[in-house]
Amino acid sequence: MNQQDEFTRLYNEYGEGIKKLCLGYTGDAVLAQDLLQETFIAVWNNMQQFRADAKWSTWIYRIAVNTCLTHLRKKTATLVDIEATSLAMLPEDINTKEQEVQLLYKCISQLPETERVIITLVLEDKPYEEIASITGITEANLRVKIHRIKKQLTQIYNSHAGL
Amino acid sequence: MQDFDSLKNMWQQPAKGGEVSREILDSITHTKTTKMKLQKPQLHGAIALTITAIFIACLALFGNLNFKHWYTYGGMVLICLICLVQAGFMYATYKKIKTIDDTVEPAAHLQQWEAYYDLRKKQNRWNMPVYYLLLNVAMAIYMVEIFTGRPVVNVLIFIGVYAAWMLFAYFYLGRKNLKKEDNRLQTIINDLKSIEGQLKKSE
Repeated sequence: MNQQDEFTRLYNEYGEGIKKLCLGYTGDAVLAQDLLQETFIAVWNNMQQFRADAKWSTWIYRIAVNTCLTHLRKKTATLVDIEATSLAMLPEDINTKEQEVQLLYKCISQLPETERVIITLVLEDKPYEEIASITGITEANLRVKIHRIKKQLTQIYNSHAGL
Repeated sequence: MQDFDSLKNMWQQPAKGGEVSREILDSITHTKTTKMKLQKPQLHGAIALTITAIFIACLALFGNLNFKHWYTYGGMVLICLICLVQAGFMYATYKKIKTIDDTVEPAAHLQQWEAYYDLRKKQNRWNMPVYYLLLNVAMAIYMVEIFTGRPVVNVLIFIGVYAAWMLFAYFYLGRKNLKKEDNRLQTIINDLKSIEGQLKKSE
């Protein structure tokens, strides 16, 4: 398999997951598309360095996480206090499934940067061991952190969904 | 009231427009990443300065300039050296960005970017002022013979306009831009440190 074929396979396999990660990180479709593109350009440029002892999935997600974390953007308010956040920025009607998903992306994008990445990987059903390997955080610490982020995200979502 | 599992089910629906497009596959050869956009001016600057130095050296060696004083040639040599040293700095910056590894763990990756922005900050503070100062000294040495024998009024007008522009450029425009750039870089460094802090807090 040549590099182009391998790259196409990787894109087909991981493209959608990475796109969701970028959407959760930015809460913005245009920015997410830029980050997705940057990620896969970095994948293409570094493919020769990939060592067979690692998993493609871990390797690609780590590049995506690095791309997101170092993405220089205009400061957005970090949402910790739900009450302080304006609901105006959120969809008025969240009846449809698509709007619910968009709201979920928005809610994730209001968490602190590293928490966005971690919870996105949890939502993608990545094993804790792999999340630890992608983020460089120990598994024990991840478990504690994930438990807290899950609670926080659910709380934010329900608050915005008005339920 | 949704629980986390409901959110997970929601998340795992296919993303809108999430179908794999050929766009990225087709565009990887001509799309520039942030890293490439930062690298490009450094490499182009280094090449341009090297070409300038070679051009001036060729002019001094083969241009039949017939200057009477050695220091005029000395000025030209100095300009060449300053251009080459600056080209070296720009090339080193280019290499620094190029060697940032996108595949390492996030904390190490953030540290590499912090080191780069820290270098840029230092360069802004001392490299550019020193570069312009030395270049002006070299230009002044070169100009001594060029101005010799010219009408004093013309020389004074030239020097006056030149000095006024340099002082305005350095003390007003330069300082204003330096402050702006310094703040921008510091904000980026702080942002990177804050994210790095989030990762460390997890340890």
